[in-house]
Amino acid sequence: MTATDEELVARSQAGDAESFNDLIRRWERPIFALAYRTIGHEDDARDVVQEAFLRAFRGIRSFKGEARFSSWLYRITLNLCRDWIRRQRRAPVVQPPEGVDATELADRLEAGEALEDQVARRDLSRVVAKAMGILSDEQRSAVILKEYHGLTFQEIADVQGVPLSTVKTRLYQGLSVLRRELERRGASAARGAAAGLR
Amino acid sequence: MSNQVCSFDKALLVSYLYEECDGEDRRLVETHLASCQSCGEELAAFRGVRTRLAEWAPPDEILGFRVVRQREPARRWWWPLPVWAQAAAAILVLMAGAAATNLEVRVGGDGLAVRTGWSQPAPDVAATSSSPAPGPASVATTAEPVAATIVQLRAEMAALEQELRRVTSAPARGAATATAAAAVAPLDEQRLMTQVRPLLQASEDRLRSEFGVRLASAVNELDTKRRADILRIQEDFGALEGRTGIEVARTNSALQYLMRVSQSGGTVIR
Repeated sequence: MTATDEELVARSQAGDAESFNDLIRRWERPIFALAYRTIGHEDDARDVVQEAFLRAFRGIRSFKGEARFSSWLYRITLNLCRDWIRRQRRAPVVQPPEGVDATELADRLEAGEALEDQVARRDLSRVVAKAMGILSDEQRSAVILKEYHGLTFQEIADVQGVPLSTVKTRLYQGLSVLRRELERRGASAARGAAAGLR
Repeated sequence: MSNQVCSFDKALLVSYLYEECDGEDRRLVETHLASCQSCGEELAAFRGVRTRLAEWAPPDEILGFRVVRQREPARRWWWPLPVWAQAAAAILVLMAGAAATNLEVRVGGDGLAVRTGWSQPAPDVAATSSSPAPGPASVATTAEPVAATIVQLRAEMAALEQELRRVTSAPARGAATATAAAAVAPLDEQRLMTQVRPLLQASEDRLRSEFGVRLASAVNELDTKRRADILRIQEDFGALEGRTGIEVARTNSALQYLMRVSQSGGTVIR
């Protein structure tokens, strides 16, 4: 039987490091995805995740359980990402490698997916990443937490420490900016909308 | 796309987009969308954006982080002490020990003197010394009750002191004897020479006699060896002469035989 986050947190607070390792195994992928989408650099995102888990481990006894453990972990990670962005002073845009390695793509070719489709998907991913880089830190965090992590408005409000209405406003503004940016970059949102309606 | 600006509550529209509104709000939005083209297009565009956002996938990798508790090694109490602190501590211990035993170390013309408070005062170690030793400490005469270990330590310290005094006083006595001998030397020199001369003469005579005996023995031995060698040479020479006589006799016999054969003119088979 799989232990819940609350149970693992309680054991970790009692000094069971292995329970905390279970929490790491459970949350390392979402936390890494959050850091990667927020700061846009894979290696730095890995460092941020490591530091986030380290801080969580050190502060696990101070976690009161008023919010979900994942929300608490998201907040730690986003704070570290914000610090990283302030330190680096560079646009939080994913920097994909120049060009496309056809050999690598062929190795990772998924069944039933053509090579051209993979290249197109990577190009679309690059466009989305650049468009996300246009958003403010607050808008981007709200969109990422909502779109990729499925947090509710209230959970995002808890993570960001802002009222619920502010979260909705940030989401609306962020989606509006992304819509314009994606249209400008040629990845028509309308095309996506048509695909989504199919 | 309509350019008309709608004043509808955008927060409510976002709630409807993400399906986080209750039934009443949902009906309110749907009623508005049925009559507002702008909000309908915007909602469709947002759904298209969400579809595009789904294309953005992060690298799928397992980081493998683990929290590992490391036990700190037990720190020895003296470990963080620097060398100078350890040396200072050693000096303090020595000073405390010296104070506890009332140790006195004195270096003067009479040599090295080490004295502890619980021993008797050391006598002067040199006959020529004129400086009196300092008075004894009162520790030894104090009739305080002491533990058995303290008594044992005192005995050992006293024995050690006596041994040290014996060692240090030996060179001083030697120096004093030499000084006294130097003072009386001019008076007894002739008498000493008178006593030494016969001894030296006797020694010379003994050496001479012994040398003569050894020389005579060597000559005798050498003569005996010479005689033996001569005798052996004579014997060898006689043997050589004997062999020569035999050869001459054989030669004469052979000649006589040849003469007989030649005179008879026949063949002789031997």
